[in-house]
Amino acid sequence: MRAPPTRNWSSDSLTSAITSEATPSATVDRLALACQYPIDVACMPYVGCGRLYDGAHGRSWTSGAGLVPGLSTRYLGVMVAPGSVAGHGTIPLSTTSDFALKGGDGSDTPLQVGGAVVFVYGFGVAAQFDESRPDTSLTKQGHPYVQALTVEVSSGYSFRISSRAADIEAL
Amino acid sequence: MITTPTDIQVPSAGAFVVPMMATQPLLASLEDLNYLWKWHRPPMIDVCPCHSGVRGGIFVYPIAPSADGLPDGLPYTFEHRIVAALTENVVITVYYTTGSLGSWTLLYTSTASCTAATLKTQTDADKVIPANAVALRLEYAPATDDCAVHQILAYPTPTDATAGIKASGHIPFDDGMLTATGAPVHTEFLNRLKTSSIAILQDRKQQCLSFLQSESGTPYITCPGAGAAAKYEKFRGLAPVRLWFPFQGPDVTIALKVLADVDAEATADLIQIRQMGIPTAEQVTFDADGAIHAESLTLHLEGDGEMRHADVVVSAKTTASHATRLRAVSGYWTPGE
Repeated sequence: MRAPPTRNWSSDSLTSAITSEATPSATVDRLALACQYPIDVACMPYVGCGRLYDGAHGRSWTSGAGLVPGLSTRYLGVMVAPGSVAGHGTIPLSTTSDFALKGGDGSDTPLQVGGAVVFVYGFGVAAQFDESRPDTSLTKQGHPYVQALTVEVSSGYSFRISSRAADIEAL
Repeated sequence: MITTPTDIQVPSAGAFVVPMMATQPLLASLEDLNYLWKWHRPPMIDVCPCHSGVRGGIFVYPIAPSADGLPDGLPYTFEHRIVAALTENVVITVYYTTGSLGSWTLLYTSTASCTAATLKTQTDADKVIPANAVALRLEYAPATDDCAVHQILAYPTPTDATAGIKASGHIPFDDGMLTATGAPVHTEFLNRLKTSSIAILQDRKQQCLSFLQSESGTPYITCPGAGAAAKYEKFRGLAPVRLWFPFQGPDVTIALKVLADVDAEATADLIQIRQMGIPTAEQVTFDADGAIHAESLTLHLEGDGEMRHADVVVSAKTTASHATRLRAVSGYWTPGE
């Protein structure tokens, strides 16, 4: 049984060799250390990208003969690394952006969610995010895949892996 | 033969106690290098455009492609998520530039057959972007009515590994070197497992922050907005967004590229990107002069383990009575930085 990797690339010397000996002894530790690298690169979760957009107003656009559904429903896909079994989405809680939005009707339209509480963020002031949504089940695989998601009424979105396979030998 | 596994091969811990002259588990691990070449797929582009949906749109987005593009031929797959007003075709045209934003080279054109008010994911595979490309221009042209672009996702999708050292430093593994009768286990195999893995890890930079809207005219989000009475001579922020760096830190440095312009007057230092929520937060500023500007930003991560994160806010300000137009923000993380 092998647990999923938790390697911190910042604390690792990425440029040093496994061994500089011409005829190194074939120790178990040395072999295991070397063999761990490709597994870690493959199975470490990818960075959770912060996507900024306007999807909080729910407006649709009527033009010509058709109606473009509003971007309050945002369709997107996230790339999931091997061994992932669940993920979690994070959206900014609130909010009204103080960066004025010129909407499709030409008026100023704040980015709003829920109670439309206004936050004017200053230095050192913590942002607030909605972490209450349930986890999204992912398909455990031995190679990465794109998981399609739909995000309702948000002005930004990021996705992190919240659960991974306990034993990655079985991917 | 260069064997590329479909799934990552993870030997059991007990497999490392090997009998003399055994090729496993070293052989499986070396084949994992070929797996990484084909299957390590962090998105290079992961962005949700802002726009009014009217008649599609034209976007310019700064990128950081793999060094293994041309001439090694590492291709990307693009996924365009589109919703069109009518049942109609949307022609997608993608260009790249290696320098000036006024000089574009066609990457490809495709046609998305959309059903009215229904998500269409247009997948375009095997698009090779030169290693020195700095930006893409993406045009969406619906045939008869409007369309909304929900997301642009692009990730590396190479075919099976082929022989030869790649520009990134990755060296695919030919199992004939280990499986021949009596073949020795060479020190280089151990070092190759690390150096080739790290080469791919650091070459395929991971998109960590994104924002995009139309490349010309008055974009959907402006600073200030129409009719705004407030002064915008101080930085005003978009809603913040959380970036996740599982198990990394305590600090990471991300590379940021910003494209912005103004309707008139001064352009210096009108865009700001900063971390928020901690006393040691750092910030960088960018000019809004119509060119792509790059800066690096160090983030001091909060949380533990898989919850490591940083909250980031993108802001803009204006000179008196003028507008600042943020066109694109593209952030990349190179693992280890």
